[in-house]
Amino acid sequence: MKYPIIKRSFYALASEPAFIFCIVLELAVLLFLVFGVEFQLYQGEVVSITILGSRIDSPSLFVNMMLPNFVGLVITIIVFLFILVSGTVYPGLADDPILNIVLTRAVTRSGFLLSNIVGAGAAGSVNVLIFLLSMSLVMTLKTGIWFMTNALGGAAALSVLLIVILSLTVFFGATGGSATTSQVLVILIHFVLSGLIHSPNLNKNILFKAVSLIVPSTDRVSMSVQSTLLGYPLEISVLVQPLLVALVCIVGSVVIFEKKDL
Amino acid sequence: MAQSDPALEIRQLTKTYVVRHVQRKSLTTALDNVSITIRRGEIYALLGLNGAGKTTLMKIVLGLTRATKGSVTWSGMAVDRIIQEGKVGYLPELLKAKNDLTVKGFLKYIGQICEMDEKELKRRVDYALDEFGLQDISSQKLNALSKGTLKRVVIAQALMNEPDLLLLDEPTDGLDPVWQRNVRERLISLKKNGTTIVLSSHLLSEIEVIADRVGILQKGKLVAEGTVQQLLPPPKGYVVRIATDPGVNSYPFQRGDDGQWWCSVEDQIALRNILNEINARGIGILAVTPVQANLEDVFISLVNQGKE
Repeated sequence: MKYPIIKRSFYALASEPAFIFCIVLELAVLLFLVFGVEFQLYQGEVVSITILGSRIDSPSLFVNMMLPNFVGLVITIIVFLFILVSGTVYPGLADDPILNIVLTRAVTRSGFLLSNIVGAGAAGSVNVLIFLLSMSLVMTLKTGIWFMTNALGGAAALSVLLIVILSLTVFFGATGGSATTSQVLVILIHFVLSGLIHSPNLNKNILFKAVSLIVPSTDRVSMSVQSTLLGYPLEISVLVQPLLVALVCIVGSVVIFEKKDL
Repeated sequence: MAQSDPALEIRQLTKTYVVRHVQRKSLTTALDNVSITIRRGEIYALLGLNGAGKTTLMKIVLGLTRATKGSVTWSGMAVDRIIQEGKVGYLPELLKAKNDLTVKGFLKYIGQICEMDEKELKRRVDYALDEFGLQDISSQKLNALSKGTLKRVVIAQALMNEPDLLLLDEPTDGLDPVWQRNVRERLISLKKNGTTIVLSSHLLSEIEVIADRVGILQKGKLVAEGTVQQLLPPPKGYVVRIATDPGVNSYPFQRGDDGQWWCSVEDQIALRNILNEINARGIGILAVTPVQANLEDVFISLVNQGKE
């Protein structure tokens, strides 16, 4: 892998309109937390919360209902936007006019593709890490309760989710799909198939059981991110199957790219 | 390795593509059993109509396209090795570029991929910018450049790593006459330093000047190969120039605008006869010039033969 290619891929992804839109949304969320939410504390416990001037005297309503929904919504939006962005990674590198020049330098095709995946994955991971740590810092400063460990765990799980998504879009791109095809397929997998195939009721069916091995359980990772951010321990086991599928997708993409006529 | 040693050996290279039509597929042969041996320090020119297989051949040599059959070696080893050593330069027919790189940024990016250290990278980038007149536009984005300027940038990157093997697809296409000459001179100086150069061009007059050998591709087949002199047919005739009126009627001498007298003859026997007669009369001969076909005539003739 080559650092200049990783760096270029990082910036290419970070300058995508959907990625910039994601950063703007994240900034809006942070500003909302900083200026729109106030916590009233008594002996180190949150007793009431004021959101945009409206006071909620039942902190449990906030903790059990509003906060999970809010975190879930934010994660869904980040994942959706990342699917849009990552769909452009493979078509972007395959259609790059200087691709032929780069590949005649001291870089292998597999090294080139992996560097691009690492760069794009790093852009997504760095973004969520900064966002979640900033959000937790604000919460920690406002409540005096330590949220940073949750943020780190959540960022790690969310990074895994983004890498799985990236590997899927790259794989669909490598197998001949356009950016739009890749995006639509991954949206279907993440928002429809993943939840459906891995549901306990359908898992009794042998066909669904077989399909569940190849469809990554991204919905579970998404839920794991949410629960980790809310203070539950990170479930490492949930990450294994999606990571294996991602690995297979990356290896498959490399094999296809190696054989491609440019 | 000595200059006369074979460096790039292309053996029985065949490339077939599956072409998808609306309702069927067909097989197209882009290269058909092409074998070429190019010596170290040689400039080898590939000629052919558009679609003859020149770019496909270069891409196979560079590993960008996979051959259906055949092999490419550099100094007896797989060509991938010299590519991985960063000793290859390539100029594709680049017509556009993304907007994320400036001229200097692009050259730096290529240098970094070649793993040049910072000091060396700066030296080579500055040299490339100077050599190709790019200093003033070094901060401009590649996609904002004209075709000719972009070509200079891409040639600069191809030469930046001081390659042993240089493949150039239409190197002077789009350049103004001054830069065409500069590039030609640069290629000749690289050849003298031992760089092996394979180029394709539609500027046949340029190839006559710089190429050591020429290969003509037609519909994927190598239909002719040799030095320019070897490819040219025997002279069509001769023109004899003399300074004064010969005063004989056996040959139709005409007076040119420059005051010289000239006459054309068809073959060597007629040439010998006229020279004997002129010598016998004690008239000074200014010049005897063969009426020679040029590379363009040869190329057109081969193309027409192929059509028949």
